[in-house]
Amino acid sequence: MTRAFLRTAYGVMAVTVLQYVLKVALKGGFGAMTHSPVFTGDAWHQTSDIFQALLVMFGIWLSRRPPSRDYPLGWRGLDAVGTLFIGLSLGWVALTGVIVPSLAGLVATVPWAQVRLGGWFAASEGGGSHLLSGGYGPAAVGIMLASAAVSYGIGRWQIRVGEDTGHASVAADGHETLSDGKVELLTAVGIGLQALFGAPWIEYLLGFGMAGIMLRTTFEILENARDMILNRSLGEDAERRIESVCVGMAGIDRVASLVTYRRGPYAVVDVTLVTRLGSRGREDVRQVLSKMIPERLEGLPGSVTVRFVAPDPRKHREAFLARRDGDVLAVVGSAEDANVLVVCEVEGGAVVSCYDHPVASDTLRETIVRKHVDVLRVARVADRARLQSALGDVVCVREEPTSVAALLDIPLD
Amino acid sequence: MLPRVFVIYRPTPDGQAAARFAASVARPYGELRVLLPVAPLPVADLPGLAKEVVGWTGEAPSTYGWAHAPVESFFHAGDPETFDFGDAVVVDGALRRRDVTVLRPQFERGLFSRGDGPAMLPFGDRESGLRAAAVGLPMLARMGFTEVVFYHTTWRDASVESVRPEDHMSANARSQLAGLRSSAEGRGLAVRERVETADEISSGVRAAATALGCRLVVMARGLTRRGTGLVDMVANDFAVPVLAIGRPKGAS
Repeated sequence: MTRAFLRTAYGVMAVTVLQYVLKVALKGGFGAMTHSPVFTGDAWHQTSDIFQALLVMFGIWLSRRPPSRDYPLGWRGLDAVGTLFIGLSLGWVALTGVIVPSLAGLVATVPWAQVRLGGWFAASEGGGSHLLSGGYGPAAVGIMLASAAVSYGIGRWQIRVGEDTGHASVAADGHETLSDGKVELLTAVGIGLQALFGAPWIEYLLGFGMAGIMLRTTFEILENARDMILNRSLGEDAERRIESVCVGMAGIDRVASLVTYRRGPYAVVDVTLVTRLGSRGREDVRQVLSKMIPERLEGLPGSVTVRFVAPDPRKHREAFLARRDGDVLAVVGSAEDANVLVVCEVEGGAVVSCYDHPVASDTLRETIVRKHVDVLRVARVADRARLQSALGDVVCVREEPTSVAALLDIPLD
Repeated sequence: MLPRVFVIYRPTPDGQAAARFAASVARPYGELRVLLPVAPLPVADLPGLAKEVVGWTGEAPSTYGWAHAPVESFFHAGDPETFDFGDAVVVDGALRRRDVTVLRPQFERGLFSRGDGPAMLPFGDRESGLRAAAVGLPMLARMGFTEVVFYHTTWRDASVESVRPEDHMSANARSQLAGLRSSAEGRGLAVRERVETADEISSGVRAAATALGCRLVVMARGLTRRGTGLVDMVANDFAVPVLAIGRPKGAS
C-alpha cells in the first residue's frame, strides 16, 4: 500500500478492517485457550466491528457516485446516515457491552444484591478468575494493553483522515475505535487489579466511568448526524464572519439575507446583498466572495451562492414651487410668487424626469393633492411654518438653499 | 504638497456621496473647494449652500479647512466641463475630462470607511505607470495609505519555461517595477507586487483590486488614446474608487 493510499478514506478503513481481523484471531484464540469469556466476548464484539467498517467502506463508495440529474448534489448525504448508524452502534455497545456487564459484575460481588437482583443478570464469571488460575494474567494484560494502543493509534488516524477527506462516517468510526481502545484499557486494568488486590469490583466501577465517556462520544456523534440530516444552520459565529466579509467588500450596501445550513458533510451558504453596482461590478464581487466565504468556514467543504438586489428605489413625487418667466426658471418661497409647479418623478433619491404644471396660490393645495406630490421644495421662504400650515399634512415642505434652478436637482433640458 | 480637492455641487445622492468622500480626502490637506455649475456665483445663497454641503459631508467643517476663512472663498462658479481646476483633484462620479485628475468615489462613503487596506497602482511598460506613480505616490502617503500594490499583467513569453508570471515580464517592465518600488519605499509605503498573465488588463486589475481589498486604484490617463481608455474600462461599474491622473497640459 502506498502512503498516498493510506491517507485516503478507503486506505484507513482497509487498515482498520485488517486490525480487527488480527484482533479477532488473537483474542478469540486466547479466549478459547484460557476459557475466558472476556476475551471471547471481545472477539465477537470486534467481529461486528469488521462488518461495521465494511459498511462504512460501502457508504464511502456510494457517496462517491457523481451528481446526476436525479441527484444533483450526488450521494454525499449518505454520510449522515452512516454517522447516525455508528452513533447508535456505539451507544448500544456502551449499554450492552459495558454498563450491563459492569452492573452484573457488581451485583455478583454483593451478596444481598445477588439475592435480590441476581435473577435479572446472568452471573458474571469475572474474566480474571479464569485467566489467573492458569497463570495467563500477564499475557492477558499485555494483549489488552497492546490492543488498546493499536486502537488508539488507528482511531486517531481514522478521525484525522475522516476530517481531511470530509467523510464524517470515517471520523465517527474513529471515535468508536478510540472507545474500543478505552474498553480494552479498562479490561487490562481490571485484570491487573484483580490479580493484585483480588477486588473485581474496582473493574466494574471503572466500567461505569468508561461507559460515561462512551455515551458522551455517542451523543456528540449523534448530534453531528442530527445536524447533517436536519440541515442545521452553521451557527451565529460562522454567520457573523460571513456577514463581516460581505459588508467589508466595496460596493456592498448591506446584507439583505443570509441563510446557512449543513447538507450532509457540506456547508451551504446563500447570501443576498444590496448593491448599486451593475452586472460587471457584481460579477467582480461574486468571484471574490465565492472564494473568501469558504475560507471562513473552518475547513468545512461548501457551496456558496451570492445573489444581488438593487436598493429600494422609493419612487415618489416631489415638486418645486417656481416661477417661469420665458426661459428663466427660479424656485420661489411663496404661493403668491409662483406660477408653475415643477412636478418631478424621483427614484433612488434623484429626479429622473419632470414637467411644469401651471399653478396659482388658490389652486396650489388642490394641485399638490391631485398630482400625489409628497414633498414640496421651496426657496427663500419667508415663513416655512406658515406655508406648511396652509397646506396641511398633505405634503411636506422642504426649504432649498437657493432659488437658482440650475443648482437644484431639476432637469433643465 | 497635496493639490487642492474639489467637489462639484450636485444635490443628488451621488453628488452628496461625492461630497462626503471628498471631505475625507481633503482632511489631510485641510481644504475642500466647491464648484457650483452656474454663472455667476450666487453670493447671497452661499451661506445656505455651504450649510448644505456641510450636512452632506457629515463632518465638522473645520476638518476640511472651512474654519480659517469665509466659506465664500471656498466656492467657485463655472461649467465643470471647461473650468480650470489646475492641478486639483476633483472628487466626482460623473466628470470624464481627460485633462483633469478625477477621483471617482463609486459608492464608498470614504477612503477607509470599510477599514484599512492598500492602494493599487497598475503599471505596464509605458510612461503612464510612471506618471501615475510620480503624482499618485505622494498623495497616497499623505492620504494615510501605508501599503501600495504594484500590479502588472504580462504576455507569456514562449521562450521562457517558468510558470511564474514574474519570469515573463519584459525588461522595461522589470526596470519600471524596480523604480516604483524604490519610490514607494522612499515615501514610507510598504510594497506588494502582483504580476499576472491575465487575459485582459482591465479585468485583471478589477479582479485583483477587489480580491486584495484595495481602497483606491491609481491610474494615469494615456496620452494618445481616444474613446474609452483603460482607465474608464477599469472605473466604469466598479466598486473600488479610482483616481484617474489627468493628462498634462498640452498633451490632449
